[in-house]
Amino acid sequence: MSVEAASVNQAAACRSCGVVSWLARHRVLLALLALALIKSVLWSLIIPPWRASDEPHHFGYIQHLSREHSFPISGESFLYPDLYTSLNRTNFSGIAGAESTSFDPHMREPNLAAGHPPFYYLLLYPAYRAAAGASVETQLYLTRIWGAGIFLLLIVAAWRLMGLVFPAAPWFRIAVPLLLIFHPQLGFISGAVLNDGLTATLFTMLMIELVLLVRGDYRWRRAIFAGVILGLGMLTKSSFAFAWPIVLGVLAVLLIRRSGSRRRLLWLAMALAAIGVLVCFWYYLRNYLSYGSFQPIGKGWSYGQDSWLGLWFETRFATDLLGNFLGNFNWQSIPLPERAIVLFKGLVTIAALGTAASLVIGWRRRGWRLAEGWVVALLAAVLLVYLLATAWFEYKWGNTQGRYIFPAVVPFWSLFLIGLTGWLPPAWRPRAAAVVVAGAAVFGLWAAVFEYLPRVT
Amino acid sequence: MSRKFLLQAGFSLLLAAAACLWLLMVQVPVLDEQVTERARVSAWGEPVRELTQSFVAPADNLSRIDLRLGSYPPVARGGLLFQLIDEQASPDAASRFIREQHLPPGDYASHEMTRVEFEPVSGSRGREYVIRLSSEDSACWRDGIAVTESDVYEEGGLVIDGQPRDFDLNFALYHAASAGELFAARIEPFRPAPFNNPWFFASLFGLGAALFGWLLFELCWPAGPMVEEVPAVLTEPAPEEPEHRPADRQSGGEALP
Repeated sequence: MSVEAASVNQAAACRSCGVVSWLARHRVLLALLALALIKSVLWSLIIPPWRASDEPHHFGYIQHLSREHSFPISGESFLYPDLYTSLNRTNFSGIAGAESTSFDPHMREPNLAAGHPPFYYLLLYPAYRAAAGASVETQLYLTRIWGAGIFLLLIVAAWRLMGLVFPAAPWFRIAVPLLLIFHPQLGFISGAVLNDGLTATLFTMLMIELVLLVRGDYRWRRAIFAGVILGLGMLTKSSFAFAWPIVLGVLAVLLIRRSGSRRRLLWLAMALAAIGVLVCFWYYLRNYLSYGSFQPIGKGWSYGQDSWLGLWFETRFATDLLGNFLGNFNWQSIPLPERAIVLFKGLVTIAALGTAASLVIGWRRRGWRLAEGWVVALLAAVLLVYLLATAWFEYKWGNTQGRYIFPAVVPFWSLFLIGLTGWLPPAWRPRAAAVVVAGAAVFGLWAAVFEYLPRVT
Repeated sequence: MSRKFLLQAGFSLLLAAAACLWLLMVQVPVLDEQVTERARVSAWGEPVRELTQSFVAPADNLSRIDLRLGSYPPVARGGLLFQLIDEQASPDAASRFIREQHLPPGDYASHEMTRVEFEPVSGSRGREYVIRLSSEDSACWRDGIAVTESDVYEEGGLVIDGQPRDFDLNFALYHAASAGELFAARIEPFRPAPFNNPWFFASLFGLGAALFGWLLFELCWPAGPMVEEVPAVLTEPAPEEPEHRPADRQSGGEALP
């Protein structure tokens, strides 16, 4: 063997060594991603065509992008005839118990998703184009499966965020992504053509940037990344606007507490805000010019309360919100049984008390500390902002659904896990988390196989 | 290969095998008929002592009936006795009463349907059955029965206290099905190949179970430190901006108190 051939072989061996070593080092993340992909594909396929909330309209948005080469305009963009033909073929009205469906393919029903910003639909556009020529149902399924990438990105973001906020508890990086994977409603929403999964992913990515800022990383790239994510979030769903007070709140706390870095922080804050606005302002300007408002919103079914407190305490709003967050499929017409919701409410209450207990125990015994106080405060603040924002939306416009709190899904499951494991002796926690995750897996499987699939028609 | 690796692989395979076995054996109640959804629901507000709703089972292995007994807000009071009667069995046959169940008020005082599950009834397809609901207390079952607004169910009728009515009870019928039947009924149509193949689903399910087993094992007994995710800038001072050192260095481990 010549010297050159030997060195080529050696280089190839090194490369394969490098690949093997990289795979070995990232084995856990890769296994999580593989499981997340399987879950996403299975959920995408078990949902019959058009059975997710307004899915024909969201899919119609992508069709509009492809056929008109422009963004749809709310009230002036309509569903296409081939979509109606597919709704007839797949018996769309079967949801309401009808034997058959007969829409006139040439009827003009406004596209209800036309008021949404375009980023999510642009991400799915390549899959739709790749399936050009196939039946509409095939295009729908390929678009759904392509959207699994967004869920995989959420898993990567959750993995990284957990690594940053729980550096002493690496098992959190496995447990929280697993809780996301087995969350029934998240599986349903991210398996369909709906933009809520992307808001959860982008918000989790934004939280990574915020945590890095809190931990003292004041490089320009933090402001650039956070600004771009904030802008893309606003280009995904206008409710991402609730991320602004969270970002500004974190920056305000840092400005108060880090007196030595105020000037730098101010520059970063300004850059972040400027980039965030720059990325998305054109869309909202276009809305303003088209509709006379930055975001058209229609009123829906409401709990009929004339006070905000009444909404929380005198109606089923809080229970329904939690139930819808956990699992209520189709157009909220396939809820999980009340007993499951009651059990979940009980676990959430235990977790809330457990989180408080964990903080007290960690404060008194440093070796038992699972989460720093600021981590719990940040996670709880995010969850609280989204709960209050959802209630405000319900109070003002109605038709609230649990998926509206999905941007806070990672904080929710992180706090849930802290609450159920954080007060236990440190050595027990990973195995306690395994029990929680195993319970979540059984629950997720049960919800899909015994509750959703048999009841969806 | 280390002992831990072999144990982990063994656990994964065991879980995958258990999951596949479960998939082979599982019986799932599959919805056949849901009268509830065919028409708007209204509440029958008059006192009731007994009602019967007849129906024809659309499939073999009838195994579950859902009833919408309470409207929202829940107003139904008192317990109910549920009976499922095989109308075509002879009056004195033991098999006439298929299921008898006490429904305490808590079970139907909510916005969701009340479930009555029983052993699958073989040969139920095309047979006529009757759901009988009677008030258990001395007074009567006063209010809150959710009924359809019109006679939407053609194969049977509703009788309240002996009076035939021109509307129906809100009920749903389920039959017990294997995973294969569930797949054929719910997943096969409209999906492109290979996504409409049960083996594709079963393989993904088994692989998912194996991966979950592997991760569960890793969670309990981690093999070693995972990749360090904390960027170097947080652990080492940036040379060009020494004044912006990480906060955890400045405050001895805590970025914020």
